[in-house]
Amino acid sequence: MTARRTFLKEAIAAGASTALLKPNAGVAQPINKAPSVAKPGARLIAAETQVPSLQEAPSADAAHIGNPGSDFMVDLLRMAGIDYVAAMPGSTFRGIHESIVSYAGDQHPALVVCTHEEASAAIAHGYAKVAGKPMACLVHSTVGLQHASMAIFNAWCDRVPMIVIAGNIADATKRRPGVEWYHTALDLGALVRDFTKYDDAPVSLQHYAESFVRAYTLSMTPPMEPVLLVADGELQERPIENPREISVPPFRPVSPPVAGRAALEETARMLCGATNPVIVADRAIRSQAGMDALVALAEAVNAPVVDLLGRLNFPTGHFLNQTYLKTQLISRADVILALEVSDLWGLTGTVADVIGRPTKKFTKPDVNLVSVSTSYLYSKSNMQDAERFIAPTLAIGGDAQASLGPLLEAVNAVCTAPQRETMRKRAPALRQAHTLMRETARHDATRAWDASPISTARLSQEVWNVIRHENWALVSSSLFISQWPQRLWDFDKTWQYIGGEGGYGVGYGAPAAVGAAIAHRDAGRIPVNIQTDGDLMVLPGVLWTAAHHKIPLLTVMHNNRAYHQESMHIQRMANWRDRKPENGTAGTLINDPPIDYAGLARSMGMWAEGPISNPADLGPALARAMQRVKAGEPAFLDVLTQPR
Amino acid sequence: MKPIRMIALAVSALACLIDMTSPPAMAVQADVHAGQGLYMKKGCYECHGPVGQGSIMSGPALAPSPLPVEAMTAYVRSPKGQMPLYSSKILSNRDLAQIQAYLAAVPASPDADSIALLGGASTASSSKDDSERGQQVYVARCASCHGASGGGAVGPSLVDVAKRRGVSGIESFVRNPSGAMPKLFPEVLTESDVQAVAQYVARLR
Repeated sequence: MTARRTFLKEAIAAGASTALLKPNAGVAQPINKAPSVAKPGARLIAAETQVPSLQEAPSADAAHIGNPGSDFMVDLLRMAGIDYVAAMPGSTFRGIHESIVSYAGDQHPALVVCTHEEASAAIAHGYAKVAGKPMACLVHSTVGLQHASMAIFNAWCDRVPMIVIAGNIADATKRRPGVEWYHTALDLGALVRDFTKYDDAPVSLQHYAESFVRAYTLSMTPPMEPVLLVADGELQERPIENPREISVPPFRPVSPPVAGRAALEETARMLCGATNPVIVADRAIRSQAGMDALVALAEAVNAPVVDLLGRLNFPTGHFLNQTYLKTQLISRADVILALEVSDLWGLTGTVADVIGRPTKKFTKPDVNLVSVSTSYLYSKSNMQDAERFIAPTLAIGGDAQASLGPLLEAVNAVCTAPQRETMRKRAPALRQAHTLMRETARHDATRAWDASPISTARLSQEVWNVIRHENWALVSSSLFISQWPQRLWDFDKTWQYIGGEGGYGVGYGAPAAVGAAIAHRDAGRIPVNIQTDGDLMVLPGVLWTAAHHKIPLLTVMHNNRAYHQESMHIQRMANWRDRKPENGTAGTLINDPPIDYAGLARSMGMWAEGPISNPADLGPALARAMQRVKAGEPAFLDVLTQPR
Repeated sequence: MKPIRMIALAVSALACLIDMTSPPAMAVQADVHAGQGLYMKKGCYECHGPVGQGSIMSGPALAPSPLPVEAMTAYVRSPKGQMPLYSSKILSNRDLAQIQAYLAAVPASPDADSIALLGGASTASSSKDDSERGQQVYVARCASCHGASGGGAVGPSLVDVAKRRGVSGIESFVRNPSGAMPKLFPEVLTESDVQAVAQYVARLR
């Protein structure tokens, strides 16, 4: 952390209450004497030096602007601790762009240059899940925000903070003819309002300051979500008016909502009295302390844990992690504790993808379902990401991670000695079940072990072999590789896995991996991205971004040469209609000709090899690629794989 | 009989003899090759993998040790779960037989304990104790259909099966299965394997 940032943070902490202090406030002025300026005290110094742009001298001539408003906007980014701003350049935010590179020296924040606004937002999405704080992304008014919108939606569904700043030109008399009219909206926020938590279009720098602090604070309060600020072009480019009148509210985090005491005690009574309890966690854990708290709770009641992998909630090697026994655990459970489960209805039932789409329930009719989630506190309805409604036995509005400590206290207070003995006796069977679960995965992995194209199990284990002794992280979703990493590797740190898209929007994977890799670089870790081919083709330009910024990232293609999920869908349609199932591959293959992904990566300036189809060649290729990554650059392997 | 006719008869007889001794393996190999083509063409690979390996995300493993062709045919015509139905119009019985031949030809998977990338020796005990051996056999040969804890998956639950069949009944069924269960003895399971896994299954609660 630079000395300047340390100073600014300390100044913010010490001088927060003085942020609204105006110069000379409280200093008595002698009567009938020439006014004198009191020497600034420590608090005034702090207030004035927090925002150096407010001290910039205006230009002495009309041909220059000495203190542009965008310098102030960049100061706000710094005060918020935002280290990076992802952007594909756009004229509507040219003011902020220049302020980042000249006023801020392209450091804290630093630009991450992108070739598409969707990449800008998705990079910010992946970054935030590792760094624990948002990245900003700059988007170019209408067309840029439209490009970014799917990535913002993914982050919304995934409950991830993101600061989106969109340029715009509100004053019609200041828009140049043609392009600046196409690139302006009366209500830019309307494009994304259904999947942002807050948006505003400030009309003055004081307004901008207050909105920025509010937006940042809301974005970082669970449920964390993207927010949008419109940075008017004139506000960016005109001189700062009345700088001494401008003050910045302090950045003060909102304490996350903790579940109510009575509800936690009721939950504790259910867990203590349960015969077959199950804990299910989805987007619950965001820090190592949170994971430790969940482990402590699960151990206290000897309850198996099903990790739905919206984040990495529970260590895979812990005997209580019984994720792949989910079906039988849920069907037998008498108490289910759901922690930030995004689809509670889907946990307890399904709609089968057969003709008629019948509903099928998994749970016992008398199961006690307890749900702890911030989704009860904040929701929107146009986008249907809230999933199907279910009324649990006990619905608790609160942040799951923040509630774990108090819940454990309640369990320790409520559980009786006989109940503790019952829980203790569950342990041997649970240990055996966990061992069996892992052993079953080992044996399942042997199928197609030496096949070409390479099996996803073989791919996963070859990757594990080169990263397991490093400070590693998996920055891609494991869904399409049959979750082999979680079934076979040893995950025990929250940052080793960050879940998936959120909204299942294709195109998240490659840029989110780059964003996550930026955060891992700052923490000295080695990230690996097992990259699907269809996803990469949405935003291949992120390969250039990774090469340009020299982001250490090992990308290993899961190249099955198809939009395989859609192949299965079309084949299902054909079967339903008693027509040719072979038509499932019509319009869903990425072949004929096959794409040369290694060549694509090399064209973007990245070291690459492939395609590799012989499993015996994969290990040596990975070793070569890892040398590059450990030397501080991205590396890419194209691997031809089995479909799943 | 004229000599030319005798020669012709002899050649004809010889040809028949050759036909009668044409190795059935050639016909089987043709079925395997055709079956592989049909397996891919009819889209089976999309959910079950090109080598029948299956995936927890799309469909169970079909190989090695596939279902008998009768059980496979019956299931495909009236599948449970979310598998789409294949009528005889789009997949004939003959096609299914060839597909089954292909799957039956998929070689046995290597032992996980022999693969360094899978951790080498099993994390479960490699003790020669029968109970541990039974668990190992179950994990390797049974869990993919009957579930890791015997609670059922594609195959039925085995919990409390000993109450209905007893240990000897379980052994007998493993040796000579009926219905959809593949016959694993003696090609895949030894007699000691059968006894060990039966003991193990009998203890499933």
